[in-house]
Amino acid sequence: MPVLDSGSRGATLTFTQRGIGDVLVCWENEAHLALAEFGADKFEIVTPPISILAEPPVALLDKVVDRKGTRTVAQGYLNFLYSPLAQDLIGKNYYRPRNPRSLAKYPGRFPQIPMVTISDTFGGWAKAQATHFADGGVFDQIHKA
Amino acid sequence: MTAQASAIERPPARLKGWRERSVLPGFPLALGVTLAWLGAIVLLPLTALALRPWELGPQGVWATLTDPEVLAALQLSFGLSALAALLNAPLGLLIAWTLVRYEFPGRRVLDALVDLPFALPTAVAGIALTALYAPNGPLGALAARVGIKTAYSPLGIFIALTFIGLPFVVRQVQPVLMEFDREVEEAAQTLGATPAQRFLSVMLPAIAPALISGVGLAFARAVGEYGSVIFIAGNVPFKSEIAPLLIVSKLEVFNYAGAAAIGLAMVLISFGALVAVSAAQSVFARRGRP
Repeated sequence: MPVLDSGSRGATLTFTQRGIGDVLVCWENEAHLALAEFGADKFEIVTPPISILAEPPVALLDKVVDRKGTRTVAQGYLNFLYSPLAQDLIGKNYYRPRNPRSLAKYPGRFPQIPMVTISDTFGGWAKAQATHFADGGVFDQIHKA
Repeated sequence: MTAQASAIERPPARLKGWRERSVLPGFPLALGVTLAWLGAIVLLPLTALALRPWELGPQGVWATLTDPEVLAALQLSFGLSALAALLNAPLGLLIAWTLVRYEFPGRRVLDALVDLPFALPTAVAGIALTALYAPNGPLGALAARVGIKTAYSPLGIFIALTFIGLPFVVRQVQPVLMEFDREVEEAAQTLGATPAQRFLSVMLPAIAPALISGVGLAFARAVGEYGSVIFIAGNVPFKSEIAPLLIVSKLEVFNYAGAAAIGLAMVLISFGALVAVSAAQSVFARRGRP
């Protein structure tokens, strides 16, 4: 491993623009973005046989919306994210739509991959953090090996 | 900077006694503001840093600091910072000399360019340097042809640290060179001193305190530099991972005490280095006074 960037976009740029490394392990959307940005003939996307489902949480915080009086717009935005229009846009930007109808609009873009979740397979974030990413955890051991 | 210049010309003013009336009014107020501000801005965060690691216990702190990865990062950071600062000494002196002693078209532009590493956001500097020195960048490709790896290696870190340290040396030396009395130099010449003697025995002792202080500042800045280095470093543990990045990594895994332990160690080492620099500086200042 020649470079360990501090973030996923940085790693994508190092791989694509600087031509460092043979393989880039990245988010699905980053891989599609790289192809869209630099040409589909420049890189090949390798789909793994199994993957981890990564879903950034979206939430409405009662305390905050009540203090700022923004409950209506916040609720509206939250609902909009699951509307057909937003789901289409999400798929257009290479994120997997939740809505099956939106997902079907991008055939071939999001192949069926068996997905595991952090909570089911890794015992939740607290445990996964302690096992894999804490000091001396699996991630550190890879470098020390 | 001017303080050093004047320190060479006349002995430092004796500190006025506490109760003795100062010529300048407002001493109690000025001292009060100085102490309060330094306390709030410098001392308070440092105190917090000094207190934080000990929740690991003395053994935990020791274990953190003697971890091979931490040791490697500290060695890399301090070693490369020292090398970069030392390289900046002759080059910064030469640039300051050129800017002060010669009049040529574009001198003012060059003079302004020296400050660029100060003014540029460090991330911009890092990305620009990486683009230049990456294997497919113009300079990186040139170096790669002769088999030298620049970006994503310790050499890349060295380049970034040299870049950010340069203005410290130039800006420390420049005013002293400007104030340097040419008559002293001419007198040495009439007494038959060779150019090398004039430089080594007449100029250098006068410039030395400013030069040492510039090198010290460049070193201190380089040790703590984060923004420009992470883009060009490669950040691979044991190879190209700087200590500030390791601190950030520890924060990301919520190991605040471990991060503070490394931070405290860095502060102590840097402090020791700066004390040594200032000791060297005062030795040369005494010797350099005509």
